[in-house]
Amino acid sequence: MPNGDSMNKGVERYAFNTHLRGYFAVAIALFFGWAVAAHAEDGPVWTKGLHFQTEGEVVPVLEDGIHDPTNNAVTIFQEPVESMKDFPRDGAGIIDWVKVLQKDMIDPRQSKLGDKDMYAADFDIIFKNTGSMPFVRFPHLPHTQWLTCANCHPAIFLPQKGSNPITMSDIIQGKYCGVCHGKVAFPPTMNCGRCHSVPRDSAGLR
Amino acid sequence: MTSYKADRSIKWRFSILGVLAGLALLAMAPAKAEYADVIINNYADAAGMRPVVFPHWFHRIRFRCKVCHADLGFQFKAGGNKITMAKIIDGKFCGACHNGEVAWSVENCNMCHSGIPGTPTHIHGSTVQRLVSPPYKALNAPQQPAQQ
Ligand code: HEC
Ligand code: HEC
Ligand code: HEC
Ligand code: HEC
Ligand code: HEC
Ligand code: HEC
Repeated sequence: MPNGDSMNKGVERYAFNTHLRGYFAVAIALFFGWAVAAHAEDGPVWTKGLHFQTEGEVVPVLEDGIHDPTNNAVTIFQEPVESMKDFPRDGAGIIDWVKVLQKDMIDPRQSKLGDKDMYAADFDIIFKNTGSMPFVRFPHLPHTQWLTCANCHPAIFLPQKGSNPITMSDIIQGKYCGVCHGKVAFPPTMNCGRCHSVPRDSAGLR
Repeated sequence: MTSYKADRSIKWRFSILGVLAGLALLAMAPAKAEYADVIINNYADAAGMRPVVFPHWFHRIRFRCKVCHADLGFQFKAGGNKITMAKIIDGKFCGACHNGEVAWSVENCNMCHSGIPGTPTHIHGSTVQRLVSPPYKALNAPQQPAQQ
């Protein structure tokens, strides 16, 4: 039968224990924070950092973590921030190469010597198997201004509407659209709306 | 008793918060090489040369994708073209342009071989490598030279 005094002790011990656990939790929190931050320093190079094209902070080529700073040629390279300074960006802050081209800010050669022209196709494909997301519009025009039919057909996509079972997880794993999007063209994880651009209730879509 | 339990769960929530803060830190790691820079290092390290850095942004300002990926036959795979100096001097791959006519010639070894030794073949900023398992074999990189 405990007297009042030891009851009080018990309560104090409870309070002490809770505090201890609290400090412990904070210590673990700090440790995890530190461990993850340290991992950011040591991890593989390809996970590191943002980029000028995806609205990152700008570092000189000399310090970008890929170029060897002891190589004297690095000082000659063009800086992304200089060449791409005025390029328009999309809603998510990613450089919009479609607009860059449309606005005639650049005119990349269409053949090695610039003496041949490409053929652009102008028709859209609407993908409707998008769960609750808006439908996806695949526009041939901006693609065929950069690429030729053989870049996509038939290796990546069979040229037949509905014959490619594309899913979002395939794309993120680098298949179908993900062959380019997420590597060279704008990443699939940063701007859903640029692909999922057609409201689900649009009437009159095939 | 109940209040003690609630208290504890709050504390644990703090630790989860810490982990999230850590992840946020990870996402804010300082900017590095440009999106779509390709490191090609199938043979270079072993041959005592620096790995090759190919900047996509720089070339796509000057050429459509089709020029390289259809006309010149570069496949869509970092390291997948098995480029060697013999082929380049023969006028294939980079050598189709870096021949002193379309662009500066092959003598400028350090312009292409400009990577930090030990950097594995990869394409920088790739969603696949970031979110899914890296498809390229990671080398046990030697200590990077001190960066001041
Ligand atoms: C379609 C032609 C073409 C091909 C193929 C090509 N390049 Fe280039 N490259 C150029 C041109 C043009 C320049 C600009 C030359 C100049 O400024 O005089 C250039 C410049 C460069 C630069 C310098 C970038 C800077 O910041 O100044 C590097 C590095 C480079 N190329 C590497 C490569 C590598 C590596 C390959 C092969 C994997 C390659 N290039 C294939 C046309 C090409
Ligand atoms: C590069 C273009 C592109 C981007 C960017 C994109 N998607 Fe998709 N998404 C697609 C395509 C194509 C499909 C397949 C539609 C079909 O097969 O009819 C799809 C399908 C989907 C589906 C349906 C279920 C599934 O797994 O296939 C969901 C949900 C989805 N996307 C969510 C998103 C979200 C969320 C984002 C942004 C983080 C996003 N998508 C960004 C192209 C894109
Ligand atoms: C960036 C990749 C890409 C390029 C480049 C491309 N296409 Fe397509 N094409 C697609 C996709 C994606 C589809 C839709 C396939 C589906 O619905 O599963 C498609 C569908 C088609 C279809 C079938 C349309 C239908 O209604 O059944 C034809 C025909 C076609 N493309 C012709 C061309 C031609 C001609 C060119 C060159 C001028 C070209 N494509 C360039 C990606 C591309
Ligand atoms: C062979 C490479 C390639 C493939 C495959 C590809 N794209 Fe693209 N796509 C590009 C390039 C290059 C651009 C230009 C923009 C950029 O580089 O960010 C682009 C731009 C776009 C745009 C922007 C158009 C605009 O007006 O802003 C959309 C939308 C798009 N792609 C959707 C898709 C969808 C959906 C798929 C799959 C069905 C797909 N792409 C497959 C290379 C590709
Ligand atoms: C236009 C870009 C470019 C230039 C200039 C260049 N290289 Fe290379 N080199 C490459 C590429 C790309 C590879 C393939 C790298 C790999 O897969 O590891 C390569 C590979 C090599 C290799 C290993 C494979 C092999 O073929 O033996 C050696 C050694 C080499 N280069 C030496 C040189 C030397 C020496 C010079 C200057 C005379 C030079 N390179 C100039 C692009 C270039
Ligand atoms: C000057 C030539 C050149 C141009 C222009 C060019 N590329 Fe590339 N691309 C390369 C080289 C070189 C590689 C690396 C190949 C290797 O390592 O063997 C590559 C690799 C790739 C890859 C493979 C990435 C992976 O998964 O490993 C993709 C996707 C790609 N390019 C898309 C594009 C797109 C889209 C464009 C146009 C916006 C483009 N490229 C313009 C030369 C070029």
